[in-house]
Amino acid sequence: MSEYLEHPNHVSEDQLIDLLNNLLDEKARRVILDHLSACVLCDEHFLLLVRERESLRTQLAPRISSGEIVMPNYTTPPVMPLPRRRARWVGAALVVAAAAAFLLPHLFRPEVSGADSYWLPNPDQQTLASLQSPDAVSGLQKALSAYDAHDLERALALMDNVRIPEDNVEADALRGVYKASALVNTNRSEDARRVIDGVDITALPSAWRERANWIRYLSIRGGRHDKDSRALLRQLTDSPGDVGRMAREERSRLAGD
Amino acid sequence: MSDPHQAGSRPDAGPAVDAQWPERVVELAAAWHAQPDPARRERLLGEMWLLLNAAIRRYLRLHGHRYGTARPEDLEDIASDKSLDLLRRIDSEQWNPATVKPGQLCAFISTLARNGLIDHYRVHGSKRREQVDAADSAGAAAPTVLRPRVERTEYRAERARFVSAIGDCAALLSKRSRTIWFLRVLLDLPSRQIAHHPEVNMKPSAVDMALSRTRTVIRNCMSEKGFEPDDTPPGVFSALWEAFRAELPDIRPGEEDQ
Repeated sequence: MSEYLEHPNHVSEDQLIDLLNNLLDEKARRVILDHLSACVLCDEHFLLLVRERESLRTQLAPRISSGEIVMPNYTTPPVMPLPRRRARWVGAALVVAAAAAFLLPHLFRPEVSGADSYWLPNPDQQTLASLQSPDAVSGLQKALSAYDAHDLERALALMDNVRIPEDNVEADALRGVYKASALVNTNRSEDARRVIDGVDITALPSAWRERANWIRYLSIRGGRHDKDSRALLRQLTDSPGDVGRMAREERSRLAGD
Repeated sequence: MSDPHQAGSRPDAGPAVDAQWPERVVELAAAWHAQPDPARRERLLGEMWLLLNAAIRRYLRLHGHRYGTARPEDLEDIASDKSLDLLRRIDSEQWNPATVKPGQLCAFISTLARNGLIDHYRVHGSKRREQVDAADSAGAAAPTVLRPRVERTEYRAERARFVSAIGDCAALLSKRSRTIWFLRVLLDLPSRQIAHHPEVNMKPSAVDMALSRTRTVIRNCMSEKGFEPDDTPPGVFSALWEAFRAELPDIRPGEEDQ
């Protein structure tokens, strides 16, 4: 670092602070970035500043409490106790029953108008079983039933209440996709986009990733993200199965409009 | 080194761009006093906190370079204490940045940082300073290789190709996964910290799991594009930051402060 400070030809730390805080106009930003691209020491010092900033953002910022500025302390969220082995088996059994009861009607669900935007994924038993919590299984089952009955406000409320262990990212992603779908269907596209953006799509089985991207498309189409939505639609037309079919139909429809 | 108080006034420095952050502090302080909405006041407070911290660290580094370097964790503590002190002074109107010129503001922050450093040595004695000096001497014994200021065209092209490939591969990830990948792989933040990042908000164990999957996705994708994990060329950080900065949103000037 001292090498950086000693060298007069380097971009100044003031300028790096400005760049980092988005305080430069486009021309100045370009000048600094061009300099960084040719100056390894400056680039390394910039990394240090970004690291410091993002590290600071992981701490709680000062807040106003009773008229005074105070530093809040971390309050680590309570860690849910792991279910005991017996509870896991009970949970798995419940999951199998829930999945069977839930999936069978949908296998024979007739095509209805607008069904393409009313996505219902086929959750496999393994993913549901991974919830490892009877409460979660029961909560999700209720939410899925409400979703199926098109009672979306209730479905959304129930999904929010399902207690999924935070390290169970697969189950969390599954819930996120359902939730985004429900939001799309209540015309809350921006909310849906925020939810689907927070879903770790890589945590889902590959077939569902396409579904999740379809929901993402539905949430951004026709809005101010039109360029993004067209690119995503183009990508989805190559998908296999229902998603590819829906994407191709949508593209034909748009071409005809 | 030119006058440390004159932000951005280094005629012999690289690009000639005047520093903007002092004026931004002034703007934020004025907006803070004028803003009645508590939520917006907190957002302004958050942005001032980040900016003042960066400014104080900038002067701590400068004075540390002259008077003796403190350990990074000590610098962090000093910057945190002094930033909080400044915010409280702004809040109580003991100090109003809106009434000073940017150069005076820099001088004030510089003095604050220098005093913080001196106080720190006074409280903790010279032991830590000697330890740091010894570590610096050990480091200084190694020959320093100055990298070329101007590099060959093929390095630039290779770097651009690498950044483009990383961008393509990162597009396969969710927004949150991209953020986690950036914070760990590029910034080397520990899982516990990443878990508390406002754009992540997960438990550390979940961060580790997400990271494991994310790394696999990026590794496979980069391999398909002909890059190996150890291929990262030096000097690509700013280009990657530019590509990823949408994942690290913060208050943008003029958006939330008025």
